[in-house]
Amino acid sequence: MHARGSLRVICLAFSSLAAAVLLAGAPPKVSTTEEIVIARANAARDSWWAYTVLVKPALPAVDDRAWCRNEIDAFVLAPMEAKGLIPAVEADRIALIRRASFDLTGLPPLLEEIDAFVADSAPDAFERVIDRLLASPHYGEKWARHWLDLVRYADTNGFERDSDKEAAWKYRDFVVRAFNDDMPYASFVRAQLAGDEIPDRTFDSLVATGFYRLGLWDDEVPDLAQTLADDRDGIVDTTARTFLGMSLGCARCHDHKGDPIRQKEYYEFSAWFAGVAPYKESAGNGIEAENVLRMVRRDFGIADPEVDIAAYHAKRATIVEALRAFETPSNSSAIEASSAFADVAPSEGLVAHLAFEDAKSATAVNAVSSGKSATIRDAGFAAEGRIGNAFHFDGGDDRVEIERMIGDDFTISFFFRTTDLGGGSDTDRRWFRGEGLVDGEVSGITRDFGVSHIAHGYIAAGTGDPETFISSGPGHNDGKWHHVAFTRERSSGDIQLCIDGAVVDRARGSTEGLTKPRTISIGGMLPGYGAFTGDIDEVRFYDRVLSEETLLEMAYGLAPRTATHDLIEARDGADAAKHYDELRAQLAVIRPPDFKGETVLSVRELPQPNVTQVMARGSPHALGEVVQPNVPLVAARCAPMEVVKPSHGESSGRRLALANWITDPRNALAWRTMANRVWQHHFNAAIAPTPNDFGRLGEPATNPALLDFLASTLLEHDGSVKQLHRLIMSSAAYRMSSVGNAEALAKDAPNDLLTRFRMRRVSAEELRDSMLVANGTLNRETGGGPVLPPLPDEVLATSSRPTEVWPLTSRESWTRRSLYIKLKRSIQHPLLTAFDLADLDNPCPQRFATVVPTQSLSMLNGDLTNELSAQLARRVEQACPNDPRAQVILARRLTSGRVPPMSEVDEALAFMSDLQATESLTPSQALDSVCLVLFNLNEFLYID
Amino acid sequence: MHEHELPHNTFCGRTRREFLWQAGGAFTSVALAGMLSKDGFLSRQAMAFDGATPLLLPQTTPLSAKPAMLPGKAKSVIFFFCYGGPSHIDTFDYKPDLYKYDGQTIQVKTKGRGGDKSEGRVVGPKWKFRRYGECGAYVSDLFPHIATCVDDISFIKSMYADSPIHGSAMLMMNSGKLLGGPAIGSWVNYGLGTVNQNLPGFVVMLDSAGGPISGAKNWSSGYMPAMYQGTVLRGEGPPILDLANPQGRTERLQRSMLDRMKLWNSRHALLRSGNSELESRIESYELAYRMQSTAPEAVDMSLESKETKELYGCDQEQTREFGEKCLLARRLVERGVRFVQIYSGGGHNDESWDAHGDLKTNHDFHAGRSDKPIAGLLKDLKRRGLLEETLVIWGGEFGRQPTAEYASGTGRDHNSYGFTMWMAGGGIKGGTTIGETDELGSIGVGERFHVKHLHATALSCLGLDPNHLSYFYAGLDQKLVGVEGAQPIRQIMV
Repeated sequence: MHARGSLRVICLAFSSLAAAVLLAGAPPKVSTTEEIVIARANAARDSWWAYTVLVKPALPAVDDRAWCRNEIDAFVLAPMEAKGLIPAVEADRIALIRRASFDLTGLPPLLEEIDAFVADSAPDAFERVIDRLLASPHYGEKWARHWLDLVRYADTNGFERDSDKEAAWKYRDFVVRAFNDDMPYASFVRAQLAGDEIPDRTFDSLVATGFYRLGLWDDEVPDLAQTLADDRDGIVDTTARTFLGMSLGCARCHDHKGDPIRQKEYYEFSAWFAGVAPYKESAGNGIEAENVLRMVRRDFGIADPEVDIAAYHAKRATIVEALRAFETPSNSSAIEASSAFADVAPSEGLVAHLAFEDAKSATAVNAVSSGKSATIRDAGFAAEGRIGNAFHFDGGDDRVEIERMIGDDFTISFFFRTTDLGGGSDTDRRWFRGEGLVDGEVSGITRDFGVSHIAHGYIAAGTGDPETFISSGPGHNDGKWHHVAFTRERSSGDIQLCIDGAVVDRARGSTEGLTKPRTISIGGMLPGYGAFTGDIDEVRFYDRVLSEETLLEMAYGLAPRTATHDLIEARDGADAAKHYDELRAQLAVIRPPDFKGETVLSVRELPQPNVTQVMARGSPHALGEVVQPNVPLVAARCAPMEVVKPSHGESSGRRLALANWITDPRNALAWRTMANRVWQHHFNAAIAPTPNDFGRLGEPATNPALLDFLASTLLEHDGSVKQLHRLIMSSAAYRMSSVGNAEALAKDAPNDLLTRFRMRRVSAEELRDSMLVANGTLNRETGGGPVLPPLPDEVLATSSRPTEVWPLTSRESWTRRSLYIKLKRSIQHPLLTAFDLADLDNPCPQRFATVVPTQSLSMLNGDLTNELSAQLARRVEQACPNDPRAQVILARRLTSGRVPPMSEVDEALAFMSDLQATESLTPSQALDSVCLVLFNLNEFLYID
Repeated sequence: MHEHELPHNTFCGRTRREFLWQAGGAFTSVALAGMLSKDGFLSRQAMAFDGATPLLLPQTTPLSAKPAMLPGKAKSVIFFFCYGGPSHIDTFDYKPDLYKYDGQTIQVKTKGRGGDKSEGRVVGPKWKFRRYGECGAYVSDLFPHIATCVDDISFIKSMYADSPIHGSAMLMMNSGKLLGGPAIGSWVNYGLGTVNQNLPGFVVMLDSAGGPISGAKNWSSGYMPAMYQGTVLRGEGPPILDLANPQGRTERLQRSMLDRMKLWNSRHALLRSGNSELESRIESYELAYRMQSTAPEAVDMSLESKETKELYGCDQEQTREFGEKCLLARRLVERGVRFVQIYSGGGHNDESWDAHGDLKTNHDFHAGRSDKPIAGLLKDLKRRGLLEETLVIWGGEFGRQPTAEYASGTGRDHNSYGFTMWMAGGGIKGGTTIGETDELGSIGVGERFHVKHLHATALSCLGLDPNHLSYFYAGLDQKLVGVEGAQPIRQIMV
């Protein structure tokens, strides 16, 4: 084992020496660790390759100019020539198209595509292949996977319940779309870090902030401070590695001398995220949905839902006005005055009525004389009401309580107005999470009911046992009067929510008597909980279900239709009455806009960012100095912009300032790290060999000029990753054969100089997907929720809930691309795991490519590979009936892209005959065996 | 570690280490994949590079056996993980005063599933304790068979952990971290390699009730390559996933296919000289083939005598399942498997040792199933001379509180402030006890031992220096015992 102590001595000696050299001339004034680190950071910024100013380097001179197809080649060739080596010859066309197809889409080329390319003698044939692949929807699927490895994407939270990260897959799909749309890299970064803070935010940019929610989260917190610190560390560490290639995490516990980063700088960087609301910010189990989820319309930021709602109300108001003119033709101006609002509520079935007319609101009189009395629980204030006065609730302890008088069939009717945000979360619209309007809530799953106001102006209602919820769309906190009616029919369990006389939601709930609440509370649920801010008026309780038409009349103070019709007919004639009927019909058909919001996993900020303090030894129980957001000195080539609170007021603006600093063209790290990653996944080795660590603990770039050329190009083309692919893939370097010449093999055995192309094994996902392409069963549908194909019983048995842990999705989904298979932290697909799926809990810049016997076992004996290879056999049988030779050739082509030499075809045929003779296999079974062998060949698993 | 043991051909250690670490994407290997092994560190860091570098030594592999860092007694570990948290005060930590407080509400600070509490109703221990062996250790009537082995056992009675919640506590006991990471079995294989390439080096056996919560994460290799992760071994049917040929495929057919594959693969590799990975993959099929015959032999219980099976309780329904696992464990360590973890309890609630409701029923059930088998294993190892090279560990992710969680019933809540674990065998001084809890058993008093001390002790018994066994990841020399390190519990080591 390496002797750490001794190594440290050597390294420090080396580093000190380096620092001294860097500070050449100036005698180092070193008295404290902090000063040493500051001095080193200042020095490293201009001397360590990764932190230096990004300038497009001049092309190196090369002898063999003819070999070079573009600038990249000069950078690749120069070092080779310096060692007297020459590059490998160009790869053949089949190797090229296979390489390009896997690199860009993660899928093998189709036979037609191979044939077309082989036959295409035009000089730009390969460039057109590249363009075709870049335009494929599968391009984004492949490159999203590289990115998801970096940000530790998983569909669940881990730990005991390993619960689903609701809608996390939308983040995955965002990444796919971003690559497919060639989103400029700076926008891609900004969307993930601050998609909620950018001025032009959209549904997609909110989804992108799911970036903050991908890590582990223990929903049964043993030590809240530690859990919150670990969650933040995950964000800090992932952000620094992914976007900057910096190992900031090393400075969590102490000043870091190897990389000149002070502990304080770690916490200053952490402070950028101090507003981020965690999954849960208090002790206890579960998560706070409102911290991490939003309900967002697809057209968010483009269309404005409030505009739709305003248009709806305006349309109705016009008709209502016309109807009122019919009702009272002699005095149309009276409708302007609210005092003239007609109270048309029926009295049949009315069991309580709180009109809130008492001037002081010291009491709430039940206008139903035989009814129960109501009690004022706190001082209320009279306000101008919908009809007469109303009761104003101040969001404190104000409540009005009345003994419950309904429980079977009922209608609860009232008016309210508010400009308050509302309680709870728009994503969790269970009425008892909101602010009480009229509430008969009893905690627990029990026979109760209520109506409340939920964040962003939703009205929610529901009944208990089983809990059943209904809700309106948002925007009813517009400061205008709205009528709400909640009806319930006991025999069917039907409940309906009616806003301004239109049914907006209905459901079927409990058929029990809802008798659990002793009292019904108006304006607040319990003391100090669920308090409403705003005015409520004319609260009525009926022991029957009122019709929608009646509720419409109550909402607008319209006179009863039939009686009014008769009145108008008698007064103004049949035509007028007909016109009146038409208007009433029109009013009834104008429905509220459909709210098509969907759940988004996103960042949310606390009202005020938490104070960030240095933690001694990284312990959240040893808090020290308070720090403000800042960037690490060693990378501070430009200062971060001022933090500006976004106009929507939902967050602090800190993350946008950070995102802008990271993507500032002067900040070379962002551009170098991304250019390096793109190169890495084309050449199976990065230029800077530690892609997540460009610091001094990482390995220096092997060809920094090439990296800077790529980074500058990326920046010049507005962060277009597709342009970078085109440039790299058009080079002669990319077209080299993987077969090296003898001299290069001898003098450049590790291929450091890129004297030949590096073969690579397909990734876990590519392996499974290639089998599906070969046998023709790949379901190419893109996007959507995670899919769960069958897993072996042996794997399910490792779960603590073997029968519940992996509910299968539809059969068609089983052949979807591997990207879409659910990534569950406590149970994983055995084939994908065997072939080195990324660790889900940590950023993974480069996957392992292990070779172990258990892989061979799963490829040879596993149910999946046997099933898929048999399907390949059936496919070739159908394509070439009764022609074993043609079947073998096709199977070979489908698995390697190549027409096999006749000698191998003969071998395969002889093998099949032998199996039929010795093992008594049918021709089909013998073909199955050949196809399984083909799936196991290196030629299938390796890309030349 | 001494100066002269420093790797010779590393420049500052760091450079190539980093280089190799990153090369993970390019390649690593199995057997044969050829490792850079003269340099002790390199063979552990386990990466070869694409292409036949001069450093490649095809005979060695990252998993091949390596000399221990320090003189160690043990070569293998068998870890009985009593999932759910067995009650220390009802098993090995005798608290005579506790009986008399039964039913009384007393002041005591506890933290468990039910949160922080400052008082609770005492549940008196439900079993009698007796003294056993020359050392006179107390053992309750739950473990009459293990009781007969106390002179080989060392009890650590002031253990503590960072979490009283199953999920995170399990991960901590297995990986040293609340968030999880490479499991101790992965670390041991990373440090020592395996002496039997035909069997996995880190084997996990689960309870028939199901896996523990968090499933495979408990035996994950974390940021290390997957070759170090635990392999689940089953007592019935093919022991390893996909080990057996599919239904209807004869041995001869399997061999014919392998031969065909080898021929075509070799031809393919011939044209691509300089890529040793292709060769490795060809060889990995031969290894897999050998595993197909070796592994079933390793788990073939019919080769054991009736007397031996009875010793483990395989002849009785109550102890058969656990007994067979214990017997299997012995067969595996005999064959060079480095780390065997056996779960007692699985699934949820009373399927595990998590006795929140009825302590008596729960612990009678789990102890009844495992007591005789564990004792049988200790005795069998001893008489075969294997005990001194096999480290046996027993314990759960935490213990249980002296007080009840609910208003009624005998159940106890979780307790990570103080609990008992025991070790026996290789490197351990038998008949010893270290540490104690207060008179109620609610918290360790005096010298307390954290999970990382237990881990440090286990590594030390194997000849691995816990403070130097490191793996470079994310800019840090990561260690099982944490970046700050931990000392082994010397008092219980020989």
